[in-house]
Amino acid sequence: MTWTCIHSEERLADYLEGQLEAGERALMEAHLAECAACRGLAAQVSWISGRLPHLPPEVVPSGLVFRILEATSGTAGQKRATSWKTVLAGLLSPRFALGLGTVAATLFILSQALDINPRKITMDDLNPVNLYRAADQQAHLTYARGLRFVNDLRVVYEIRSRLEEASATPVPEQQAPKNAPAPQSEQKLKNDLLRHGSSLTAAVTLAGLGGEL
Amino acid sequence: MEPDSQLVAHCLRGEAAAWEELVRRHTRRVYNLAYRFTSNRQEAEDLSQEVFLRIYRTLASYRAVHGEFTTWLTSVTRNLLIDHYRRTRRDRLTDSIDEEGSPAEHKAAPGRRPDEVASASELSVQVQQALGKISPELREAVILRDLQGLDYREIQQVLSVPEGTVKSRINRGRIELARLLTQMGVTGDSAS
Repeated sequence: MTWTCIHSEERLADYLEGQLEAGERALMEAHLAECAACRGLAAQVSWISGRLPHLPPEVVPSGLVFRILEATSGTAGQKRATSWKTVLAGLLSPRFALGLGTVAATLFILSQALDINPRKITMDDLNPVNLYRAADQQAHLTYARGLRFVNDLRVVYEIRSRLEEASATPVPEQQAPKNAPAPQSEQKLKNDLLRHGSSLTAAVTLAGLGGEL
Repeated sequence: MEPDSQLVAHCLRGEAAAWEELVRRHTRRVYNLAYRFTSNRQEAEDLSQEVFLRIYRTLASYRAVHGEFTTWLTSVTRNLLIDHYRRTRRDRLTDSIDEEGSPAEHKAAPGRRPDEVASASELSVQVQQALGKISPELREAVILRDLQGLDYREIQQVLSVPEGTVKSRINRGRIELARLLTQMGVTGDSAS
């Protein structure tokens, strides 16, 4: 049998650990005597194999044992003891407070919209039919209030535009002697408008309602 | 010292102190195995936690008749390491492509004189660098045998491969490690 470098590599561990049979051992040693590369490799493997078991172990990071215990049995043991604390801490958190505030605001707006007195809530208030009616009524009332406000605004603008129109219109020259001086004429118009203001408001309101209807 | 199997029995009866003792006794072994395999302290730490979490959950399935607790623990660790290796393979491939432009890492350590004695901690770092370059199959075999001190039978159980395969992997692993260290300028001649 021809003993090659491949054989040497394959049987190197057995050779170094003294596990080779006498025949193979002799072939191996004969090859190593001739082959410098295999001899160098055998020496290096023998050296590092001898050093590896004595290398200093890595230092375990401080706190690792604690973290392992916490992740396994530790938390399970502490859970019972701190469960109430955990709940309280949760209740006091800003997120919970914000949520609570939002819910309270929503309930207040709903009670206003549904015309429910929070101090005297009855079973009837919670009846869906009554809830619908109350909401419907509130909606109509709100709409009517809004409409009235818009109409009032219209009247005000109407008066203002009339006044501006009156002051902006140039007085014809031929009528100037007949009429009172311009400031007096303007004053008269203002008085007229003020006198008829209420009826004008009503008229515009009706017109507005008519338009809406 | 109470044997591991008895500690396990106490743990299963709900004794927290027994579990704590088991964790304290074996954290170093698990962490070192994880670090030697991954070459990353943070990953080794995370994996150690994962290992003990798995052990804690499956402790009831451990049977002393099937072997030493240490062997079972090592098997669990090794399986998680392989899972981790497969999970992170894509990242490592990207990293190795990024590093291609950097100077060759195989060149001899600069400034080393032949008579310079490598300290054990220095050698530990160099071995770690070399371990990271050999295939995971050979790496785990060398770590289990030479750094963790397991015998062939135990490694056979941990890796679930025949004894011949275990021996062959350890042999090839040592040879690759020796060649890499030679390329790095770390030899028995320079250290002695």
